[in-house]
Amino acid sequence: LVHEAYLRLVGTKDAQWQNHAHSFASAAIAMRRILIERARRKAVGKRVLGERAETAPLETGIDPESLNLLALDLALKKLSNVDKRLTDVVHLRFFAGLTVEQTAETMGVAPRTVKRDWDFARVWLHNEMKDKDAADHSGEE
Amino acid sequence: METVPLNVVRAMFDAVCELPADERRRYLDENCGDEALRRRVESLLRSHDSGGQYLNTPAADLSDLRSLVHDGGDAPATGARREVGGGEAIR
Repeated sequence: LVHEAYLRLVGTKDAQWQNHAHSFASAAIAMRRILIERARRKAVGKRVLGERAETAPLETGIDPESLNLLALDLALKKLSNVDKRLTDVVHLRFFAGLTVEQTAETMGVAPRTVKRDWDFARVWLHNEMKDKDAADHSGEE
Repeated sequence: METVPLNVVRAMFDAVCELPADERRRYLDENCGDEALRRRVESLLRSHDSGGQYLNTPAADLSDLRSLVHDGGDAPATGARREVGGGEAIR
């Protein structure tokens, strides 16, 4: 369903683009929620199977993609607390799949701003996900 | 827990991220006296240098995410974004 909605949304002509700004933001949020819910369900399912089998620690029963997505969700929540615009850019670029120009038009800012925000948000999120020390830096405001 | 504001971190990061390593170091030596800020910026620079294409593929185009949505069914056709046309220059 999300894929169908997504197809319909991105299939609109450029002239109508701005009228759909809100729809894109909503679609991105819906996409994020559905992916997270699925990842969570998948992670729990595998954990239950792991418990039954008693073959491995719980952590190893969760597939990496689900885990990464859940970790990304947490990192995004943290990011939205310190800079909501960066989170909006990630929503539109990653979850809605818009280009830099489309994101700029949707947000009403210059493409250069989106490009810089996007680059920094990716670095910030990558740092949260990969850097073991990241937990020590969670107090940014 | 570090309390350096993100806008301060970002300003310092933006100033050095495109510089070669030795120039980054020199700039930080001269302009970044705050140790906590420097540690944070250097950590982000490591992510900048090693992050590659992280998140650059939209969620809908990632096969591992599609497997979450479709629970193991056939992956749907992708390329929706490309149908829009005209907006790929900066991607």
